[in-house]
Amino acid sequence: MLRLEKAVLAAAFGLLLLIALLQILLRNGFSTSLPGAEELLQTLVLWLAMLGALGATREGNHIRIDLLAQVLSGPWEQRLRRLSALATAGLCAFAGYHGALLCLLEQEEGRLAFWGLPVWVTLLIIPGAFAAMALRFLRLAWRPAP
Amino acid sequence: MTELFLALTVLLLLSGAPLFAILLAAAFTGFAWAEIPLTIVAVELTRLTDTPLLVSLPLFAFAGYALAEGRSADRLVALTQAALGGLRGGVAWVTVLCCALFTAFTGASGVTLVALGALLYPALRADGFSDRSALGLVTTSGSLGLLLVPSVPLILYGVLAQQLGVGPSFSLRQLFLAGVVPLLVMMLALGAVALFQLRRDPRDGQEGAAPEAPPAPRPKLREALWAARFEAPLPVIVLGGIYGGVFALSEVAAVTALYVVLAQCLLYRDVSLRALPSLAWRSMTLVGGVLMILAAALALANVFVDAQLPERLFEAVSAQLTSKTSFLLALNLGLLLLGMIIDSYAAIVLLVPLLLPVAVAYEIHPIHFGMIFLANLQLGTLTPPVGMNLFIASVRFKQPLGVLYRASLPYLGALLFALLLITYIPVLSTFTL
Repeated sequence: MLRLEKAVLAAAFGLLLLIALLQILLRNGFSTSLPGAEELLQTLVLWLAMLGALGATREGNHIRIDLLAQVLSGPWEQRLRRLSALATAGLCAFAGYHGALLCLLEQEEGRLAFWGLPVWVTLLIIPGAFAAMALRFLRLAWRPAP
Repeated sequence: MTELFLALTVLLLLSGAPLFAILLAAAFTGFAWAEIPLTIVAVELTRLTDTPLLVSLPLFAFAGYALAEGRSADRLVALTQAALGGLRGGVAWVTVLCCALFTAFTGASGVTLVALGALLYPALRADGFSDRSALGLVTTSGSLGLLLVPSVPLILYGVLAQQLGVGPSFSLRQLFLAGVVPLLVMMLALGAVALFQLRRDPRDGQEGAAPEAPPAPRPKLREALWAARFEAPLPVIVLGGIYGGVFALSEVAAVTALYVVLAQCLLYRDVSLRALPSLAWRSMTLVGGVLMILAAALALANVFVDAQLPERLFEAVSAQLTSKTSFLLALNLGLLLLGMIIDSYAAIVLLVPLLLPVAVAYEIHPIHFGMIFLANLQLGTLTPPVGMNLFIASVRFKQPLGVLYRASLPYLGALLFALLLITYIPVLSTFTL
């Protein structure tokens, strides 16, 4: 699972780099550009953001302001961490639900993003990554990372 | 519904949840209160896809990680040492210059301390600086570079300020160029204190901890230049590309990432090609976290604007602080205190949407405000009791925190002086307008 996740993230980044370079080459060398490339690049930013945040959850390196946890220690710190993971899981589930609603709305509208790809498909990463994050935080609430 | 979200936000905040979750919950609260359908929050996240500038963030972050992975730090130090080491106390200038450049590329200033500390500290000791002086200089220099592109906090501020669209308009190129002079002021201030201490301390003042490794003899300029031949063009590509005005920021970022990969993997062979996916993973989990925070913060910023929070804040503040000078002073103090306890990214995304409109109402230019804000935060990472960089330096140099506090104090004073200059002499930041 970790290897798949790493591979997908690295591939998304590789594609971003490749398309960005290709664009420069086409624009400056041949005064043309790949149709839809800008839209693809900007969609990749959203995918990298969501997948990166999901990865940060796995690695436990989200940016936090954990003043209280620094003061507490022992079992109380542990309880606080569980509570925080549980609350975050709930929030991610809720955000994922609204992401799914947005996908449904876009599906009804039927707008196209680029290369004939419907907008709602490019947005699937929002409910997808939030759902995975919700599960991951739920597991952290059950069994906090050491 | 609103109360439920408010309770969730407070719970997340108190329990130390990830920042993006707190911001999202706060955004949900605000939109529920304004009776706007909550799917708007998902729509706000898609704003990541209509800001072309953001394409540059993953690319620059990846380039920074690849640079930190190889031995660029060694070659950079050798090169500047060869060029400046001949001057009396020249290694002090080597230190501030290397730290600023390295931090601009790698973003997190903690990385600079880890990568450069081991090289610069013995070099400073060998150049005649006392133990305390060398420790203080390396620790405080580790935070320089926040104001120089392609530093992530600077780009983040630029994106936020442009999205907010308050006050006089400016281009990102102007913002990026503006950072150069305040950075120079801070570098000069640190270097001056180091030279003053060098002159005051006895030349044979080698008491205290012994250097970690015997310092290498000063490299010859030609050899150092030859060793750094593949990296030397990098600042030219980045700074020339951005300030030259021919290329877009994302184009410069893509070329930088490609060039760094070529140099590190194929020319120097410092990094194996197989390590690249792992570098992409590490840099993207950082950038992903930051982008999520940015997206959530943009959503929350809309809530603030709808609730006319900045206007109310200005009314409240202007009743107390009648002049621009008193506002600036309060800003300096407030940010200094906050910078001690919260992360720089958190401070940027939370406070810029609230404070920038207030600052503009006091007729402070957004570029000037950005410089004050970032310089202030930089100082916050160094101020006791909870400055991040002090902790990292303490681990890195195996010194108790108390020793580092005392060693850093004169340099902190210098940075504070530089901050006051940057704050009260606007032209240092606004010369590009």
